[in-house]
Amino acid sequence: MKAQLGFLVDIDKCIGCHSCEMACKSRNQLDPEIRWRKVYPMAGTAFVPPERSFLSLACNHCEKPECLRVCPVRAYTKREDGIVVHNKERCIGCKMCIMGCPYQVPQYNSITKKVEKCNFCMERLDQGLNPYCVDGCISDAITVIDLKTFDEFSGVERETKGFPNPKITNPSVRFVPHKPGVQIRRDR
Amino acid sequence: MGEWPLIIFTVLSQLVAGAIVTLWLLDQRGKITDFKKGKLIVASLFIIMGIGLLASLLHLGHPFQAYRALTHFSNSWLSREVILFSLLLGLLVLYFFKWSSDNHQGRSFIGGITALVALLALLSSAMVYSVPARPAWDSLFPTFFFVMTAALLGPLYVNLFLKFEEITQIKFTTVLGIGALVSVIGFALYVSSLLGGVPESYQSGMNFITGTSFWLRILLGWLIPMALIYFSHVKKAVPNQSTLLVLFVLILAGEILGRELFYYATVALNVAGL
Repeated sequence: MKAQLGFLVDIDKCIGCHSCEMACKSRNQLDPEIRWRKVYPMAGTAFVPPERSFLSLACNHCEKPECLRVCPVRAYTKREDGIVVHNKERCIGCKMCIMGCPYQVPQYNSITKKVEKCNFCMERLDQGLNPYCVDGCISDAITVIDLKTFDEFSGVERETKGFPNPKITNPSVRFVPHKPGVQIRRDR
Repeated sequence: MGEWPLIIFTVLSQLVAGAIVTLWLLDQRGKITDFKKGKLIVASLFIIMGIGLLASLLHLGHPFQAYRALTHFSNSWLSREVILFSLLLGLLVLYFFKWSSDNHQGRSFIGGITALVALLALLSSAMVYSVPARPAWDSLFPTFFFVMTAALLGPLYVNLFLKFEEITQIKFTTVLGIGALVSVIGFALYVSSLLGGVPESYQSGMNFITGTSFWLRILLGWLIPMALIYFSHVKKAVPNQSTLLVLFVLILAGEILGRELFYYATVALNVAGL
C-alpha cells in the first residue's frame, strides 16, 4: 500500500450545515434516499456543558475493512492509495456489508437493488482535485490526509464521542475534537 | 418481506443438517432396515433444502446473480455458507441414489461426507453473524442457537418417518426434552448477557424481551413441548407418531419465532449516540 488516504474531520469547525452532505449528494447524483456522507447531530449529553455539535462521516476507507472481508461476491477492493472501492457491477444486494460495517456506511439503494457507498471521489483525486465534500464544506472542516505521512499533531484523535470503536477496522479518519465552551460565573 | 427469506432459509437448512447427521448415525448403527424410508427421508430433505435455498435468494437484490457469491471462499463466511449448502444439495442427490442399492459401505461413505458438509455448512451459517458491528451477535451464542435448532428439529424429523420400539421412543423424547431445556437455559443466559452488555447489546436484549413473539417463542418452542414430554412420562405413555408430529410442529414454530426475534431484535453499533 503506497498510501492510506483518509479524512481529517474538525468537529470544532463543523457547524452542522450539511453542505458537505449535499455537495456529495448533488455532484455524485445520488438517488433521493442515499447519502454517502452524513452529518450526525451529536447527542446533547455528549459534552459538558451541553452544546450542539455535529459529526460529519462518510466511508472511513478502513485499513482492515469489514465490508471487504464479509462481501461474498468480491465487490470491494482496496486501491494502492488505501481507498476502499465498491464495484456496483459485482454487487448482488445481499446487504452483508451493511451488516458488517461498524459505521453504517454502505447503504441499500431500493431503486438499483444494490448497495453503494462513498468512493472518495477517486476520479477527482486522480485528477489532483479534492472530493466534493471537502470543497463543499463552508467552514473548512474536512481535509484529505494520507495516514502514511500524516503528522498526528496534538489534539488530533482516532476516536471521538459517538464514533464506534476504531479497533475493529482501524478506520482512516481522524478528528479534531469539539472544544466545549466555558461557563463563566460572575461573583456578586 | 424483510428478513423472512433468511428466517426460512436458516431454520430449514438447520433442520436438514440435523436430520442428515441423524440419518447417517442411525444407518451406521444398522437401525434403518427399510431402505425405502431412508430414500424418502433423503428425498424430502433435498426438497426442504431446495426450498430453503430458493427462499434465501429472495433476500437478494439480484437473485439471478447469486452465483457470484461462490467467489469469495477465502474470507467471506457468507460465500462459504453458500458454497457448502449448494454442495450439500448435490450430495443429497448422490446420497439418495446410494439408498437404492445394498452397498452399505458406499452409502455409509457418501452419507458421512454429506453429514460432514452439513455440519460445516451449519457452522459457516452461524459464523456469518459473527460480526463486531452487531454486539448481540458477536459471540458463540448464534452458533449455539443454530446447533440447537439442528439438534432439536433434525432427529425429530427423521423420527417422524421411522418406527422404533417403545423403549427407544421413550429415551428419544427424554433426550429431546433435555435438549429443549438446554436450549431454553442457553437463551436465558444469552438474554441476560445482552442486558448486562454494552448499550447496543442492552438495547437488543430489551428488544428481545419486549418483542411480540418473545413469550410465544418460549411457550411454543420450549415450555409446551417439555410439558408434553414430562406428562407423557408421568403417565408412562409411549409417544406415538402423532405426539411426535405435534412436538415437531411446536418446536418448528418456536424456532421460526426465535429466529424472527434473532433478526429483528438486534441493533447495530450506534453512530453519534443516536
